[in-house]
Formats: sequence, C-alpha cells, structure tokens
Amino acid sequence: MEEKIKNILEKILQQDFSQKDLKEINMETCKNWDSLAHLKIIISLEEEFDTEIEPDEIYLMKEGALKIKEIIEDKLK
Amino acid sequence: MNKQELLTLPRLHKEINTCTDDNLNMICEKLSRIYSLSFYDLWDFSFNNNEEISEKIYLTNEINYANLKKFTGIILEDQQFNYWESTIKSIKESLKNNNPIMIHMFRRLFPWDVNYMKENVPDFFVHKAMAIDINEKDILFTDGYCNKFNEYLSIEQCEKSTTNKLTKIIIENSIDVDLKEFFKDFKNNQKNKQYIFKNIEKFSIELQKEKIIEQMNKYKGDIYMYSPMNNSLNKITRSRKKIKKLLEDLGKNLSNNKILELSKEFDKSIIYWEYVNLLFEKYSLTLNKSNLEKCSKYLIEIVEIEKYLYKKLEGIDV
Repeated sequence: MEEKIKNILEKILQQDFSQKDLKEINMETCKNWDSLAHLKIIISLEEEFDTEIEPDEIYLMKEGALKIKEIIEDKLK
Repeated sequence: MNKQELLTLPRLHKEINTCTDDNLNMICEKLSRIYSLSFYDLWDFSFNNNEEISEKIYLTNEINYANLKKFTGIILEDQQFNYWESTIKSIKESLKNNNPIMIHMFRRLFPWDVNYMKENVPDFFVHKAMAIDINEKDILFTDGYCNKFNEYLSIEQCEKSTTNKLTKIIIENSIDVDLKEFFKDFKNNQKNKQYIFKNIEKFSIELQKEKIIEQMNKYKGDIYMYSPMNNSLNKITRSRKKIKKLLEDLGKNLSNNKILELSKEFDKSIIYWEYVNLLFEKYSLTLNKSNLEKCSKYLIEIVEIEKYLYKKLEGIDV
C-alpha cells in the first residue's frame, strides 16, 4: 500500500519520494501540494483503492502521507 | 499616516483574508482600529434562479466600502486608467500625500505571487499590492499577502504587471465606534436576513436538478477554482470565518463571554461550508453526482446550524 500511495503522490506532485519515508511527505515539505493537488490525490486514491473518501477524511489527510495511509488502511479493514 | 508609519506597518497575512483584506488589516492594526467591524454585513446568502450558474448564489460585496468607512475610517477610491503614464502619475500623487495605494497586478506577472509565470493563471485573476514608497526607479511594496518582507519592484516591471487599476486608500484621522451600539445594530441587521435559511434550502434542492448540473459540467477540465460557482462558495465559506472573527473581536473588546462562545460555535457552520466546498470541487473534477447529493445534505444541516446560531445571537444582550 505504501508504494501505491507514493506512486500517486509522485505522479501528482511531480516529485521523487523513493528515498523518503511517508512521515516526511506532507504539505509543508512539498511545494506543489496545494489544495487542488490535494483533491487530485484524493480522487486518485479513491480510484486506486476503490473507496469513497468523506470530507472529514479529506481534511485529516492534509496532515500528510502517513495520515493518508492510516485512513486508507482503516477504510479497507 | 506619515511615511514612517507607513513603512513600519505590521506585516500580516491571515487565513481568512483576501489580499485586499490583508492590506487594510495592516493599516487598522497600526492604528489600533478593529478591521473585522467592516465584516458587519457578511452573514448572508443570496440565491436566485437565473439561468447562468455564476449568478445563482452570491454574497454582498466582500469588501463593503461603506462599512469600511463607517467602522474603520478607511476610504477606498477605485480608479481605472488606460495608460501607464496616467497610472504612475496617480500613484506618485497619492504617495506624495502620504496615502498608501493598492496597485492591481496580474498574479502571473507579479514576482512574489505563487502564480508568477504560471501560464494557466487567467488574466482576470488580479492581486492587489500596496505601494507606500517610491523613487524614480522603484516602488516599494509592503503587501502582506505574498511578500515576506518589504520589496522593491522596478517601475518598468510594475508597468508590465499592472492592470492599470488603482485603489486609493484615504485614512480618516479618527474614528469613533461604540461597540455596544455596533453589536445591537449587527443583531438587528441579522433579523432582516431570515431569507438566508430559505435561500440555502433552495440551493440545496436546485443542486439536484439536471439544469444546474449541465451548467456546471461546462467547467469540467477547467481549473476548479475559476469556475464561478466554486468561487462563490469559497466566498461564502470565508464570510462565515469573517463573522466568527468579528464576534471574537467584539467578545474580547466587550469582555462578553456569550459573544465569545457564539464565535466559537461558528466553527460548526464553517466546517460544513468547507465540506460543501470540497464536495463541489470534487464534483468539478470528477462529475460524480454522489458528491452533489452529499452537498445537498450538508446544506440542509447548515440551515439548522445557522438557525441555531441566529437564535443564540438573538438571546445575547450587551
């Protein structure tokens, strides 16, 4: 799952995260991660994991990649 | 305001502020005036059944010149020129009189804007920067919206970046606002705005109709923030944040805990408006109708929340 999330983030944020830990990837460390990019990430996550992400979860996911992973894991349980 | 005061304006950028707000807010902070009082009329929601999507929902002017003058003593005067020669003449004249001036710039041509040189930023997206010092070569910008420090821009670059629109800022020497009276007026003013709840309900129903969906679909593929409906919804959400700030400032200045409590309770409305925004933006990108269905449900909840907030406001005496 971590790889899939990284792939989505790399594609949308146009940045290489192969050497980065999920906890290092967030809106503060990625200059391209603005609100539009965030929504595109959400839509890609929904497609990739065949799930629907609710507005409150979209908000929480702004914390960064690690939070994204936690929420997606929780949803797929 | 003398030149020294202008040059030492406290730089600020607040999340609830537009670029114009930031500039005016800086002046108010310097003069110990309460900028948020100019938000007096912003708890609003207008809706009409016009054919065009951009006209369906709207908000009273976000920067209300009359309220700004009345409650902060700041007078704004817009000027539109056709030629740079006239624009620069007016800038110099204003600064000579120690009045700061907002110069409207194309965002993609303003060096300190995040959208600088980005091709997909449309020309109508303007940014207002405040100039407060000038020599023959450069203009000093003290805008707090995107500059971290005071920055000089060459007159040549300024000429390239400007829309030739200016907003002169004239500051009255003193302003006398009785905050208790202000609060009473604010409460009474809101009494005349019961239409808000009906309008939000109407909007919620309208969102399910094919006609509006067809209109919105025109914006698919466009950058979502430029679609007119998203733009209006952003303004509405910001208006609730501004009302929260107004109540917070009133509560603090009047040492009134009930007003402070009400201010905090506005978070409920704000978060739901944020959700509506998100779902709407998601719809703009995906055209998945379930987002609009959820939007409608949140709007109905917003009606209940804002009715509750209004009742609470009604019950507060100062």
